[in-house]
Amino acid sequence: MNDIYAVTATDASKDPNESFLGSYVWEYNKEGYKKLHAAFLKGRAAVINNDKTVLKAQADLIRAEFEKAIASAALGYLGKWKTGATTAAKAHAIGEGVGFIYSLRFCKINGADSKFSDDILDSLLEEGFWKLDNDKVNAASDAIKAKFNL
Amino acid sequence: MKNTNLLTAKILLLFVIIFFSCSKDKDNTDNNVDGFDRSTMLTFIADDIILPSYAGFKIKLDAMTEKSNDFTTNPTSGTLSAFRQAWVEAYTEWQKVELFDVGPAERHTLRNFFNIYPTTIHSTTTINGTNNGIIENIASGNANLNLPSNYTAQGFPALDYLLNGIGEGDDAILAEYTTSTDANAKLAYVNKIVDQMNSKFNQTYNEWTAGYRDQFVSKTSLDIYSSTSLLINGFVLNYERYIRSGKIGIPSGAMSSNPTAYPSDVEAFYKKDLSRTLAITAHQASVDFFNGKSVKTGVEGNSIKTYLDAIEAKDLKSGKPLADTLNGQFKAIATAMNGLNPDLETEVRTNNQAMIAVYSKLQTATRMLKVDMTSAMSITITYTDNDGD
Repeated sequence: MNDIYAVTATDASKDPNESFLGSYVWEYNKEGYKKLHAAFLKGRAAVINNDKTVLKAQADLIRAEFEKAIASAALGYLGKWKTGATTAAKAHAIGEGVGFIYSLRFCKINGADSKFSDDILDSLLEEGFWKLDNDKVNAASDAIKAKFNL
Repeated sequence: MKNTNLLTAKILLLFVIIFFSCSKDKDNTDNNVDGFDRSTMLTFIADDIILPSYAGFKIKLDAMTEKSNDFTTNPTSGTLSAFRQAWVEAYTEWQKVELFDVGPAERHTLRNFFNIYPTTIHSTTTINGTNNGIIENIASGNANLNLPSNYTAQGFPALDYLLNGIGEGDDAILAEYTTSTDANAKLAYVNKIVDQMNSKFNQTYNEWTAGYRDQFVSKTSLDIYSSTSLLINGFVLNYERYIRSGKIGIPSGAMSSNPTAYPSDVEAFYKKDLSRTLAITAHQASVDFFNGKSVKTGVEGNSIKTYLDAIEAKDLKSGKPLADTLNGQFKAIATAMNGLNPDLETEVRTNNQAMIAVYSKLQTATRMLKVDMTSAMSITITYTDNDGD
């Protein structure tokens, strides 16, 4: 039974049972990751106590830290497009990055919506992968940083 | 059952409160929570290392630009050799700034426009209807040098080919710029590359002096957006990929599973006798940065070394201070590099064991920097994927 979230994680290694979003929070939002365990415990207690105020506060905290991780992952992969030394590395980075930018539409706590995501994707990929340059990637990064206060 | 759950919940809540009050101490948002003042370190690194290094490179780049203009206005053996000399000096000085892959240099990916090699003379790959190589770019006259597909057709490596490799011997090289039918197109391409280098560097340097410096010294936390994290990531990435791999590992074949040497992949391949100097200069710049040697005074100040000493980081094997162990390794690398042939291409072909030996030493230092140093400093390496997918 996995009743404690990410119990074996340290700064240096993630919980081996951790995958998907949880592993991205560990990778891109270590400060937030530390708060999640407590928030899940508090939230669970609030369910039992039928305390909707605390429940919502904890759910919002968890969502906010997850959103920060998604935005940071998007920024991270845009950065890896820059540092990628081969076309393959750049293609991998932009493939992952596009996925994360797409999912920013669900980050409602930070006020993102589908228009926010789509606008970034449209200008980023307007002319396709081969015509990507620093200016386009920087514009996407700047928009994400501004929206998520990063 | 319900009561038990309530009790469990209360215990958990209590645990949560304890957890919260404990974890506060571990927050790394404070400037000197671990007994080390990162603000002072960042200020010293900006004012005594990065900015003066940029200023020093600007002098050499300006000088090269002047000699390049002289050459493209009037290509003679005299202007060619003056241009070559200025190119050597600027290329060498570049090795002292390539490692600062942070802020504006990261934003504008400065390295990509200065030093991606081996250079592409002629490309057989067609992308969007264009082949991106030096020859194709000279012929088209309208290459977009901002695109990644053109990173290997510009900067110091492309100039290396254009100044030292485009013909057999000085007379043949000069003829390419005087009597050849497309001499003017070649001269125009030389101008275009040098303009691009000036534009990218000046943009970076101006942003550093007009605002980024203050931002750099003020972001003193340790999260992935902090100056320390960005700086260390850029420094380790440069050491791993562009000193260890680029200068030694790839040409010697030490990194491939099926050992094949690629002697023509050395830096400054066409100049022949510059590659060792460039490698030594780049490595020394990394060592000086690590030790916080002021570019202005030559005196050591607040740096990674003093940081590691302050947090008492130890080498896990020997139990000795990590900074001392690293400096010992750096010394061994410098000695081994000095023993190489000045032309690393010759060394790969005739005495590759020596190259591979240097690579092994660099690999050891890379591990210490990338694993031991960053984990001691609570810095996350962000330039590689950690998610395991």
